[in-house]
Amino acid sequence: MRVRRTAAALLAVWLGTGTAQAASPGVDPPAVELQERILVVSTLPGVLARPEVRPHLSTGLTTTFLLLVNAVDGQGHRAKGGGKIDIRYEPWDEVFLVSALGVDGKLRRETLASFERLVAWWKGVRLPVFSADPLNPGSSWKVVVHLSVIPFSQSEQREAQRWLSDSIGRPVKGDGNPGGRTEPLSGALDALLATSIKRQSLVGYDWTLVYPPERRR
Amino acid sequence: LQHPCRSAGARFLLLVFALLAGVGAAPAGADPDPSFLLEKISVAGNRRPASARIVVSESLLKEGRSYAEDDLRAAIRRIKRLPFIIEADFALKKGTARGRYELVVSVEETRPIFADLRSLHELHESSIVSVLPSTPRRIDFGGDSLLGFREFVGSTGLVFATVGSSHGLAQAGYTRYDLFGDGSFASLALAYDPNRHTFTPTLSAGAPLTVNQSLRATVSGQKFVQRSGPFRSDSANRSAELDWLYNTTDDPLFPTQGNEAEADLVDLSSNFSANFTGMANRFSEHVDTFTLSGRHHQRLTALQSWSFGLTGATYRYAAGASAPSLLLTSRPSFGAQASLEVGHGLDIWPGEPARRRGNLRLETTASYVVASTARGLRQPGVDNPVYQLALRANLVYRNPWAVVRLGVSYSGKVMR
Repeated sequence: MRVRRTAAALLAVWLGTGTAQAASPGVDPPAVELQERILVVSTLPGVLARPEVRPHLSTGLTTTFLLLVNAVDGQGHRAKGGGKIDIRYEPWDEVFLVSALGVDGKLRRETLASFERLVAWWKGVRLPVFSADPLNPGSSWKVVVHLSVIPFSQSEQREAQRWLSDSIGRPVKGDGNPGGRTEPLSGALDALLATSIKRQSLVGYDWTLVYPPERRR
Repeated sequence: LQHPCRSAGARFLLLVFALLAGVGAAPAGADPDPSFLLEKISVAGNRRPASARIVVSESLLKEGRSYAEDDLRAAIRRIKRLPFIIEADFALKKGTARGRYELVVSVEETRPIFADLRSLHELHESSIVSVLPSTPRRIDFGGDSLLGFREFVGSTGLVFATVGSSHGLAQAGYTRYDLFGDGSFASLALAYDPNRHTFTPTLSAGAPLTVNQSLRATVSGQKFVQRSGPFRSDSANRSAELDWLYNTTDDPLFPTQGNEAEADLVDLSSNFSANFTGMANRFSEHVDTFTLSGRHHQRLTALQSWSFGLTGATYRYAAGASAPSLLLTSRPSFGAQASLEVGHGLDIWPGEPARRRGNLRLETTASYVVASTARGLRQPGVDNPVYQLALRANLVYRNPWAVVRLGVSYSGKVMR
């Protein structure tokens, strides 16, 4: 058992080498809130104007922003989900065409006439990311938000779809063990994020938040 | 009563299914599947007009046609696999009329003088199994450390010259792109070995079959004469190779996603004759090899990727010898080799530092090889078949001037 735990820890460190980016200094964290037992991410961080992101938004080709959210309550129950935002600048109309998708499956589309309006829309968008049913509302939740920016050249729609398909067919560990670690889609969604990210153009941001659901309701 | 967690899990899966459905139908912006009529394709960042023409040709994109983003992605990957391109990006600009676009391809090229430096420390319990004949894969890039020069000439030509560290092997050649249509090339190179005073001419040509598939043919020959008093020996080697290649990887040196597959047919023949005061002894060998290989690359995390590859090969070996009063021919015998390789890559400098300073990557591979040597090539006291495990770690650095590889490898027989 100890060997397995050690191996798991080593694997986590090894895999973590690539994802452990700084807690995004200089970028304010997003807000999270509960809405009818769905966790919603809002007030998305102001990353669009950052020098590592802005150039991708004016290429005329689609830039994808993937949001991965993990949460754990005081008893160790876990929930995980995400959302996706596509942005493309249309040179002829000089507008930004955007679409946002959360786990509710509802596609929110907008046409925005300027970069300033895009930034305002970004701040105002509310993205449902997962059902909070597995989490205990009586304790605070630790919520980890990861935002990845995927430029056109590295985006892999089909790859992302395949990973999600695969993960649906995967048994969820811990079904009979509410207090144990569960990993619904953990590897799959990580890979969904990671498969399309280019080495040189990689931009990723991480935030860790503490959310007290009882007080917010 | 339903278990609460199972119920939550089911709900979660439903939500994920909703997301999946959305991802499947997720449009790029407000347009479900945007496509762009390319009125003009221009290249920025190139040093010579020839490289711009080669880049556009390699992309297989045509002015006046419409392309979806998937097509553009395949094109950018083709461009990145050109040997003189370090980085490439696409951007769309307004064309002359509404709905028409100019595609601007920004490239970063390698410098005219380049170095490929390799240092491998070997910790071999036994030498790595390699019973297969080998032919040069890229005639403008040797297997050892080398210093090279590369410059564009004419409309779509490239001359190159290299000096290698191993035996001072020198090579010079000319590659002409677009000779048989877009995306094709033909290359002629002449290698000189100053120790043996031999010249090896090599002719190679390739053409795309589809966006991700191509066909390549290579022929080379070598003649070597040695005289010492009344003794004279002549040796002549010829090789011909035909390759089918499938490649969707994102980078020729540091692939992190995509697939590679290759089928190679190689014909090697060598003749040796020794002549001593008019009495000649002759020896000839003939090897035909068929190799199939495939490799899948996938990202694990933002900075890490892994790969899994399988290779299978079989070959036919035949030899003959003749002396003034003797003729010996061996019956053809067959050998085979199969290998499985798992690799891991870690980018040490991510993001902006990689742009400024070049890529630095740690690559580790583990491979398991099973090789059965053809009867005619077996040596007494040597196991057959051989089962071998090989481990390698390489630190690889790349910038526009150089590729540097520092590595350590271990291989040992696996006892059965």
